[in-house]
Amino acid sequence: MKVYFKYLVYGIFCGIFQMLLYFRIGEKVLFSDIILVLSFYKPIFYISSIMDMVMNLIPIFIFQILYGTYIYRHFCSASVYYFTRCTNRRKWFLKESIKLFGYIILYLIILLISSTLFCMLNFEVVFDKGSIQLMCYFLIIFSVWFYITTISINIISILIGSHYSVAVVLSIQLILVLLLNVFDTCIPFENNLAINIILLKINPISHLVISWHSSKIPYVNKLINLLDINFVYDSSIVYLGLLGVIITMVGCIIINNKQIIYFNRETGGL
Amino acid sequence: MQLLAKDINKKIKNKNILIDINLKLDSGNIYGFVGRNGSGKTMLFRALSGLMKIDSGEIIYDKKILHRDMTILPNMGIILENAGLYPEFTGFKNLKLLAQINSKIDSAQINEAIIRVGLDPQDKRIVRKYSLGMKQRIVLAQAIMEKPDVLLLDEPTNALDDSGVELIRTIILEEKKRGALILIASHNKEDIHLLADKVYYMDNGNIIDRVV
Repeated sequence: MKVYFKYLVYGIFCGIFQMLLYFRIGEKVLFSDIILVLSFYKPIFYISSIMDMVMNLIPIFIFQILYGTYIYRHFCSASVYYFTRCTNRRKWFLKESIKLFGYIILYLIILLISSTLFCMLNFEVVFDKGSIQLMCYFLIIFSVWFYITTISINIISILIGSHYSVAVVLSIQLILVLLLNVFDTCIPFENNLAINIILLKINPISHLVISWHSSKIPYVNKLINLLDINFVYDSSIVYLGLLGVIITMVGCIIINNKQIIYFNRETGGL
Repeated sequence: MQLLAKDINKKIKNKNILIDINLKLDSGNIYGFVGRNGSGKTMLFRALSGLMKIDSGEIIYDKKILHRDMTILPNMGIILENAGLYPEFTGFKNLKLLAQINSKIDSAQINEAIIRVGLDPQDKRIVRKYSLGMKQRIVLAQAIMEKPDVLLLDEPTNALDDSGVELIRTIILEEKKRGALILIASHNKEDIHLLADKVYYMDNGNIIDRVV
């Protein structure tokens, strides 16, 4: 839908906002640092650092709010006239999901470009070794996360309405961030127990923090691996990818079985 | 072609909405459905269209069973009371968006449908700014634009002035002449009297009487 292209502009503001928070002084900025800033920089488990992570969630939240009705809107307005023409809702949902994924990639690229250009205006940006790999990881992992959460909002909206669904999905993400601190308080991470690593890896938000990951490529690993643990990108991609597939399948089932009994629940019509 | 409803039942929140409905409807005829508010007319249209699943019974169209051989009634035009279009788009854009789903018709045919209901396809106003009568006309345009085999029209003359009512009646009769199977639910006795070949009276989800 062309109407959604205008929302991509928010990516520019978010990119600049993120850079303003981190880069104020200095002459040089590494491109790898720009990528790391966009992926929660280098958080530790203290509450102040966790609050920084919440600030870093803002570009994600903005996208989720704007695109949280991308699929659901067809169930609000014109649902009767739309779905009496749509013979295969599963196929339609998959097509719309792919379009949404396209918007996500565009948004992330805009976010990245605006961040880099903003830094270029104020500092010398150095494209260091390993930053391109980090950029690829960032685009893959974040696009899948954006997809999982935004599709979830759309699906939950179809079931219970958009106000609740946005609140539910945003709250879950905040709780996942705060859980990092809670886990660390209960079982301090510095003890380096196996349970710490398991708790870290089952929390999906951890997979977004690029600096916590490890890489088999030595010069990339040097830029990240803040926790000095075996936390490879491939496992994050598989984990989040699986979540994405599950949520898409659930969406297919819900949308296929949705009965159009009520209409124009939110935006009105006639 | 024939649309059959065999013993259809539907319950929502423990309330019987449709009870043992049996219908045999043939193409080229207009069937009127009358009854007070909440008698089940709109729910029957939702069930017949496939928008709502039934709990028991069968809906058969062209020897195919709804929800087994097809998910919705094929090649159907529908108007449901209170169901609107996208309020942020113009009338033309709304119809274009809906026509793109099946790509059966082009822009010229969309324009033709809009003109047929007495509206201007070039009108730049968004549907939210339309009067009630204009909304009713554009909704009818979307129902007839793809020349459907079945037309389900719930209160098609609602909110229209006398000339609008006359125009819509003419269109409905033209669609009948084309061979469409038409179902009309209306509170307007004159609509039913002038248009319908058969009339069904509904009450509490039942069809209680039929007049030829």
